Amino acid sequence: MHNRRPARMLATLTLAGLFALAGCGTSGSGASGGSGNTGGGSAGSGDNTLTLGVITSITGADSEFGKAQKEGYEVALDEINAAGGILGKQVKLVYLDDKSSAQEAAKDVDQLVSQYHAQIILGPYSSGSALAVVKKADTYKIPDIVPTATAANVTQTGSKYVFRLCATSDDYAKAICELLKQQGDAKTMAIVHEDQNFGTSADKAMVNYAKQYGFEVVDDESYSTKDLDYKAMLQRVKQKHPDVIYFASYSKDAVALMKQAQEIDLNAKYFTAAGTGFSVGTFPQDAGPAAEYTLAAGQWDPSAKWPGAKEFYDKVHAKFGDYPSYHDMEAYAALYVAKEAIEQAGAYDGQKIRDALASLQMETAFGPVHFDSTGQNAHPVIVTQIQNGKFVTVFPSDAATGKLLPTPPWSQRK
Amino acid sequence: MKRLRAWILPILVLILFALIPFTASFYYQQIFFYIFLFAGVGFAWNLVGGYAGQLSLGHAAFFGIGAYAYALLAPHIGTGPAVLAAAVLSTVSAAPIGLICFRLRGPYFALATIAVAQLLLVLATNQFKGLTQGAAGLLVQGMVPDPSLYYWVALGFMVVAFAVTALLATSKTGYYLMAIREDEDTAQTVTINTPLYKLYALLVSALLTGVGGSIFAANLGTIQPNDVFSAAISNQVVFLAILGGAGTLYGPLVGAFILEFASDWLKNSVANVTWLGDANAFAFFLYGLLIVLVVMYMPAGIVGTVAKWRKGRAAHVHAQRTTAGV
Repeated sequence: MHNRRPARMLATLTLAGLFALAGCGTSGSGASGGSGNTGGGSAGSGDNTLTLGVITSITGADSEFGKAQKEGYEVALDEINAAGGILGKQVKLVYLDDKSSAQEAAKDVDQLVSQYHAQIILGPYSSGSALAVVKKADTYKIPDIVPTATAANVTQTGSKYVFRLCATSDDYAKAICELLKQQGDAKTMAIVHEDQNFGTSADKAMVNYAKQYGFEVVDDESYSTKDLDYKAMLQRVKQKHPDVIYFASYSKDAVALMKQAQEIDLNAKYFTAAGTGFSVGTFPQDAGPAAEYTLAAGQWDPSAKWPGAKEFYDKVHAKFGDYPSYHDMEAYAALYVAKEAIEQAGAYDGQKIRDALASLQMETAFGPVHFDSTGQNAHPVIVTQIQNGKFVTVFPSDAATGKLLPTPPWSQRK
Repeated sequence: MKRLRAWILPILVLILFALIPFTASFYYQQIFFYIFLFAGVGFAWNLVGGYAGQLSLGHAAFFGIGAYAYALLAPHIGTGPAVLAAAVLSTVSAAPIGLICFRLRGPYFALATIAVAQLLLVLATNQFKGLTQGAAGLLVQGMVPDPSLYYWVALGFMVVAFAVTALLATSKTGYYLMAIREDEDTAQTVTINTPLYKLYALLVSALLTGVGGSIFAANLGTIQPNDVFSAAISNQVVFLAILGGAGTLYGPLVGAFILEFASDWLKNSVANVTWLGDANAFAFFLYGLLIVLVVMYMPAGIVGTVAKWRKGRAAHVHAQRTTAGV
């Protein structure tokens, strides 16, 4: 065996690596942005910026939602900086990509703490990554504001440092059941969900609530978002003739599911969904006529009564040309919640910010924010229906901007 | 004397590794954690994929079994015994997997290993939801009291994995495995019990990979099937071994080093070059390009190519000396 020579080369490589490392370790370079690297933690350094760390999915399966979140953060950042920043400092955001994976998300927390002295974490996007981020933030004893991850277990790790802005998959299921009860003509239900953390949680919640509200679950199907041909599964659903179908889907799969439901003539009185793919701004365009009449439990709509909602919608559209959904809004609100908490704490200090968050009471364009003892914000869920390519809020009645329209069979649609 | 000199550099490297926690931030300690962890799993893969030449594209199967065995058992039997259990269970599971997959050769073997890992991913996600909590994920008990200690756990794991593969590779078994890689039929005709030795390599490989999985789970603190049974894990292990040099002793470590730093650099530097447009996608493209270039122009991997090059130069110098002598 010629061990020696590779060994020498290995040593050279290691040395080179260590030199590179020394460079990275001391200067804190290597992540996005040039100035303000020493930002947040170094109070009194004369540096007049505050660097906050955001973890989201810029690449990978959830990148579409990561992009939406980034737009929300950017609009909030512009507003906050124009109004004088946080604690008199201009704010800079560092976005770290979790590549839609829990392993990367956990590493991102390490990077934010090591290189940016983060005292608070914003993000990530998905429920799968959120669990890992919550565990990590807990070991550093710094708070994590979770804007979008709806899976129930995110706030059940026992951590005192997790604060979730959005309503959960339980709330989605409950809102849909309430609406169906009010309608009174549904008895049977089929659940179709993607098989990752979000879909699994949504499924579990709906099975539970369907039982409570007296709906019979006649079919419960799971699928992988990696496949995009769901016709065989939808045929099985069709054979059970459910009154209601409840989907828990991300974006591309939501479009494929509805288009294929139309193709195989799968009819139901109510096509309902746990928001997400059925709530993104592009869904009505992408799914076209197949999207009509679908009902989605969601967190927010531009028509919401809270001040700033419509303005936010217009700002995102003007700046990025996109149609923002609640994913954008939750990120936007998260930065405002962080601002409020840091200012109430009076210092950029993890423990103080956590305590401020625990007792926070504030109004945002996303609605009132107040976290309970598990770190969950009591956010109301709305149900929207797509009517003529537009999202119309139909439930609850005090938030409704239109009437729920009955879903005609595919054969009777134009 | 020569044998002694061969040890100097590895020991020096090890001392350097031991110094890192005193100079590097916790983030870089975590990067080294993953380098050591995946280098260790790469060493394990190397026994089967490098020395025995059986291209396994499904090592995530053993990685995941180790991770779940640890996650499920640690709260009941304690962390130490849970690691042992992870080792035993992944080894035991390798026996039927080996018996099924080794009936096939070449690309068919590779495809069978992908299928097994994929099957376990689906089972852990859907069928055994009661046990694994499916994609909702499990919380995992830590292995050590302080997170910074995982650096040492991974370093220790890598050293053990290296020692095991080094001992095996330089023993009679190692030469048998290489004979199988070069020509399985000929190996059989010279009375090497090829199925037995292939299985033997796989069992040792699975044991080490399972332990790697348990360390991964403990460090992350939470696992879901997609984190540990995914093709991404299998592929990463294969890429780093091939990049560094499959069938070379140090290849997996060199490969793990380069892949981890390349991925970190791409994520943080290239990803923020705004004129590239969707720069993150471009980062993935560069990552892929690196792998394609290595496979095309350095099929022996970095360590293999450098060793060949130096051997060639030494021979050349030797030839010059002899001609000059004439």
